[in-house]
Amino acid sequence: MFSPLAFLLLLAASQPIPYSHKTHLALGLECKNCHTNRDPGEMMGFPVTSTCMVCHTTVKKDSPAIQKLTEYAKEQKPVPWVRVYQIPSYVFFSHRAHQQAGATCQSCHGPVAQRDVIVKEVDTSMGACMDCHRKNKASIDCTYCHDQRQ
Amino acid sequence: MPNDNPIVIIGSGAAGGMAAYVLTKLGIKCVMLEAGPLLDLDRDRVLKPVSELPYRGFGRPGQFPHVVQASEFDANLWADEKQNPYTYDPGNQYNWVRIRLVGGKTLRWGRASWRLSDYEFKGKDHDGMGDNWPISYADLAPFYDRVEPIFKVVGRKEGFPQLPDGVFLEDSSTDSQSVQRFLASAKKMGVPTTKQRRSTGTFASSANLLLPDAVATGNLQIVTNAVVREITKDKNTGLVNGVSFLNRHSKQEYTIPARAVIVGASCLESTRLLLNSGLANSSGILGHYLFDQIYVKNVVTAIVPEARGGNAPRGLMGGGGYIPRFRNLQTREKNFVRGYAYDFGSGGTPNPKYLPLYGDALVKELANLNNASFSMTAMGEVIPRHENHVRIDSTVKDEWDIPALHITHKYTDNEYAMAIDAMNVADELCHGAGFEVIAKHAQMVPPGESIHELGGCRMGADPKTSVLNQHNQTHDIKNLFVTDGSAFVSGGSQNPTMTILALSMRASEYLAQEMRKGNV
Repeated sequence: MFSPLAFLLLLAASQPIPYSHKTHLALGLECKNCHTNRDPGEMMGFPVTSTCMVCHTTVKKDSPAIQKLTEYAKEQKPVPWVRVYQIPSYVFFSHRAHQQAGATCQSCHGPVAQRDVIVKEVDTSMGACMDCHRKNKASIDCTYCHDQRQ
Repeated sequence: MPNDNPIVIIGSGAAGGMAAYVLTKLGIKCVMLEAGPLLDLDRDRVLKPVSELPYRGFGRPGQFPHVVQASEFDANLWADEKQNPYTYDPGNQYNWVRIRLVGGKTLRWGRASWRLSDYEFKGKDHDGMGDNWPISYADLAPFYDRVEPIFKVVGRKEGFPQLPDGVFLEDSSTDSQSVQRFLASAKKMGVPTTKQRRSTGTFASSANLLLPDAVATGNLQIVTNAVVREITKDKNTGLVNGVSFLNRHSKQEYTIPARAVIVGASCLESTRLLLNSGLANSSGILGHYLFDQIYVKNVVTAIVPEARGGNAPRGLMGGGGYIPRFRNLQTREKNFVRGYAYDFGSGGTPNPKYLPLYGDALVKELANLNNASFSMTAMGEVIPRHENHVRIDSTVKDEWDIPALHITHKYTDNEYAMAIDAMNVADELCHGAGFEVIAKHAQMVPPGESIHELGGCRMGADPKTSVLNQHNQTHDIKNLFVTDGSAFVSGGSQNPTMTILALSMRASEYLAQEMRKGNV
């Protein structure tokens, strides 16, 4: 019998390099160390490969995964990470606005620090957004997240 | 001998879905006939880039000439007008918008969830115009109370007599500064305001909130791609005894026997079906008293000055609200009867058509006004009139050889006067808030475009002037019910879906009760 999480793991997107959030966050890293929030604040970024190499020039440099990472770094190519959470283009969403309003990374992405593999385990459908907005007394008006009807 | 035939429900939207939800839970076997297929969300809801669309976003010519809501991106949603033609009087365009899918138009509604009040149910008592419904607000209130939790309606209680409160999930969100300024302007002018009342959830559709529960009872069979041609009648008993339908693809005809029939195929389709079947028209009223609500989209478009430059400070823009009817509530105060409501919204960029520019200058100005717009849409009551009607146009047939509808619908001086008043009040409200009004107009969209078409099989206490009684049962045939918007006697300015759901719930429970008594 599968647990719900085990079932989600079966559906997890295959990433180019096996990266464990659990291992890295246990070392004291924080989400924002790798996922920066550039202006105007809508998107969280993925780290440039050289950031990874600050440690992995020496740490586990002989593992096949790190060798693959080193190749990306040498070629100055970004690692083609597969996005797990995506919001449709017709939704206005700002990570910064949500952070300023008190939301945490875990609110929408779950207990990332406990996960080796990230799967979409938190509902980010419109219904879930509206429930959260209502509970936190944020607007649920259509135009708050969607373009004004013309 | 007991009649073991199922209840046949025609249509799967708000009316049909609610009928199935109620009856199947009471242990009654139902068969639902839906003219379209079941939506496969994973397959049918994928947003494609315009480069992958056959007509690059411009749409197949002639597919949706009257559906302004449609685009090639969602062309799989709407009923194709070449397959489903209709006609109207020259010079009096009518925009008939249809969705033929399991869930009907609840797959794509605006979710506005308002109740009617006795200003509508007993409108004639109030101002002498139109007709009263055969029920009052008190009759329907307990059903609204049960519908709203199913649809998780969010709203704020206000105590307005013209807009009764309901069973809401509370909306206690704060308003943006621009909306606060607008609300203050409205208060100064004595104009009431409230939060929007909306059904919530990723979907708020019959397809996910009503039909799954009905199917789970084991009492509902949904037949998709079933285009109904006729409801048949037993000449001996005078009762309806079945339904003839064609498979949408093969066009092969089938019949299904019925103990009773509930028609919930949408306002105009239900009326068309009864007209084509030659049923329930001893009054000669069937098809008459068609109406909808006037819509003046962007009656005013304004700019919030502090948001110019595309850099509105956080908290200034966004959100919106609703202004319920405030005209003619106490005394007749204007050069028109009844009244109108507004939706208002803060944010977004104004429609380029309101800017007298083109080329680089237009692009620059649109960037300057990004997220600086404040707009209002007015929605007004239309008094139902006998002359606004539909009839069968036997010269035009649809893809399945079923005669089409001819629609006659005109607005009158009352609606034009209302639209002008709505424009002037909106202008004043925006100026009072310190906004710059860049465009205002009183041009109503063509009838039908609001997708709030109502009437045609109206309810009434008198069988000589109405088609349905107070339980949505036809006066002529006791096992034939119509529970959609065609049953409305009047509609106010409120969006009608909550009332359709409540009426269908009430009528379905009445039918179950009559079946238990052996009357149906």
